[in-house]
Amino acid sequence: MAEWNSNNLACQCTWADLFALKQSRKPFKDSGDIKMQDLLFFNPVAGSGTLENEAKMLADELDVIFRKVDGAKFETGVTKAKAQADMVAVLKKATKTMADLAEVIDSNYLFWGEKK
Amino acid sequence: MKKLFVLFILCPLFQMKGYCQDEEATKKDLHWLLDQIKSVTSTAEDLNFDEIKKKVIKNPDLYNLIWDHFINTDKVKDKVVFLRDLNFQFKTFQDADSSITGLGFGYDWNLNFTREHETASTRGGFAFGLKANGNVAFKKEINPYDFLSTDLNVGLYRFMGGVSGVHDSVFFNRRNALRQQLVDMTTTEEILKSDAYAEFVGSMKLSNQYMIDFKLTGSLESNQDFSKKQYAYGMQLNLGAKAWNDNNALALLNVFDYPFVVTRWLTKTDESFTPYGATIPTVQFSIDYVKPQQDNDRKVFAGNLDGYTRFHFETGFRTLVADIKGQTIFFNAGFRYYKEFKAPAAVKAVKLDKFSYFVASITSNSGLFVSYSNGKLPFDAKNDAVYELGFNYNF
Repeated sequence: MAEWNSNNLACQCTWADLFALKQSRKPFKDSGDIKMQDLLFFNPVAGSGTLENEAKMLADELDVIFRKVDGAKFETGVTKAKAQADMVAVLKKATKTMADLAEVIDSNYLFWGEKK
Repeated sequence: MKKLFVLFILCPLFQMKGYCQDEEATKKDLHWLLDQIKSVTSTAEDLNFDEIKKKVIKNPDLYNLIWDHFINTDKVKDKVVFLRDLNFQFKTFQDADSSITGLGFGYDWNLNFTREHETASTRGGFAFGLKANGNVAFKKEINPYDFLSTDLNVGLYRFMGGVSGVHDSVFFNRRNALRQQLVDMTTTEEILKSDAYAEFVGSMKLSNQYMIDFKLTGSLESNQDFSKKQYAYGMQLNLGAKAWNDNNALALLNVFDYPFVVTRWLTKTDESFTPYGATIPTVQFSIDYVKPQQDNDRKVFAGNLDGYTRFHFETGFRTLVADIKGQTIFFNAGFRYYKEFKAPAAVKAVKLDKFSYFVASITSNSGLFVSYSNGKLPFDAKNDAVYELGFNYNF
């Protein structure tokens, strides 16, 4: 089970940026278990092509916010394509949680102020 | 089948030994495996091979546990790269009258290679993808009536916008401080009304984001025993636009969201009276030339196995209706359209040359939902559902 920790910058940035993008309205302490199907972008009645498009746009937006607004860089050996593909893979899974998304993000991004 | 079963149990153990030379870890995993097998039999005294075969061989949960424990781990995936993109699950299938059940598996594999470039405001590149998905029962007579699909695609994509501005270490440190304040807040209302949140969002300088994604595609579609098979070659275009800042003019064009601006305002979910730019729908268009290879049904019905051109369009819309007392209520809608061009008269006569399917639902995070649907999907798109609704009231 992925950890949800207020001292983890990946958890903080994932939650705060999804909140700012209106994807979720829950406070941090209640957000670790929020499933992807409960986020604003996840349309349960749309076709798989639509879900793919929505997930890709959200993953791209999160990526530019992490790097250009939050000051993050990619971890050693990680490319934008990999980071984005990893996010999309989690976003498309209805039962994955925000903690799962933060875990994948943590593995690909080194956030501003994060110790290696 | 017995040999396959034994092989399946032993193979992960040999693989595991390959990546982990620790003898203690090996013993620990063996004990774990025996515990899992015992958990599906009644008592330890029943643990003989026939008992295992009867109670375990049709248990997909046990196989999935084994798969997750031995194969679906970072250690193995680091060595076998393609496993990272493979979703594999054992399942139970049953025939239409539920008289025969049996084990099988479902798979969904997405492999992508990308070469990309980035400027101050755009991200784009060239992408190659391989996708395979389907469901297969080990007993032929209970194979599900859906298609196995294997696709290759190659194309170009571009994302534009999203945020603006260039920032420095002072800015990033301030962002971290604001975020820490927000993380410590305990209610949504407290967050939304705080000066910290206003500064946090304002500093992001969210802007409009656009996506354009064009692919050439080639696919093989078949049923599970390949008695029906067709190749499809075509093109696909995906377009998207999001106004992440609701104050941008693009957000005002999201006409689908206006009824829900009212519901959110009336329920005091939002204080402002503006539509959400984040819910502007994306669209997908595709056009394929389909060449049936083996399809006795189509040959009898249409008189031949000539190739045909098919068009597909899909879009979807989801937005927040209200957030009341812990209940988050969404409106969801999806529309799909399929058309076969120059269909044979026999196909047109029974209206199988075009399909449209519209579905709308209201869902809440507590599980309650109501849905309405109209139309039908073509046979090979019936399983193209993001997730299935449990129960619904049809109006």
